[in-house]
Amino acid sequence: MNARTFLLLTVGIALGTLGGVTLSQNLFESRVERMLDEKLAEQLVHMRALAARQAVVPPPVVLPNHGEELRHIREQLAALAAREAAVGASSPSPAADEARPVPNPPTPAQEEAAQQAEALLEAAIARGHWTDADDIQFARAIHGARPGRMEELASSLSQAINSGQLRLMTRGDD
Amino acid sequence: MMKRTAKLLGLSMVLFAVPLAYAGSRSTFLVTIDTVNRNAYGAFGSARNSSDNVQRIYCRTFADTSGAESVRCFATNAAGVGVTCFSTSPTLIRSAQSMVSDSYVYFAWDTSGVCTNLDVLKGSHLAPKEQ
Repeated sequence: MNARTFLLLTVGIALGTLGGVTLSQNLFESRVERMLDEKLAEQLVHMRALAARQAVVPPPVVLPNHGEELRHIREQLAALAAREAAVGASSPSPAADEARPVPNPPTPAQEEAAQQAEALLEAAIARGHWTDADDIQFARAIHGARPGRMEELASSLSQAINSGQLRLMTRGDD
Repeated sequence: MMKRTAKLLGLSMVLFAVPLAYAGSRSTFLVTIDTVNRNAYGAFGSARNSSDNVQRIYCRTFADTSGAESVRCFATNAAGVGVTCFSTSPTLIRSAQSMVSDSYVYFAWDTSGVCTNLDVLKGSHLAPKEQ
């Protein structure tokens, strides 16, 4: 091998290596770019889902490049996550409390009816038995009580009978 | 002779007259209470016609002009154990209102004594109240 051949061979190897490196670098760059695009698409889907849940529509933002857009997405996600955590921590929310109807205070007639039902029940428990006459009076009385209180009184009677505290009179001796 | 023949004929008619009686299926449902599973059932006729004078089962609906309605059912078995439940559920009230004189009734309740089920059955196999 003479010097000329050796030089040509060296130059050829150098050019080949350089070409290969350049090709690899281009391939690597395109792969990185594709990965970034995929990540960006995922982030966008996630952000839209979160925004929909919070009924917040983010304003359209036009950004010069992906890096800037990603930074903006991160900020939005952080803000949404913080808001979501705040909502979760304060459950039930004050808004829900305000929406809950406050029962009206009982009218004097309702209060009197409830007291009458209570007195009937207490007297029956003291006697140990519940008659048909008690039942008719009790039904009328609790229907005069305010809604909610009626159910409480009715439940008290049920529990007193079902627990054996009150015995039902059935022999026609009431 | 004629008189004697008439007597014999009358006697034979009485002796050989076999009453034709057909009866369908009949079921008896005495009042039964399960305090563990919180339910009770029985048929009005069966309870009424039972040999004891203790058992009974019934439901009462109550309504007023304000529109409030409720139902309460009671059952007492032959041993004297009594149970009850109460409800303002329109569906249970409607079920109670469908009862007739000889119905079968099943009801169940929760720990608060609120009715959870009210089953009403009407059928030819249920005995009517005799007295």
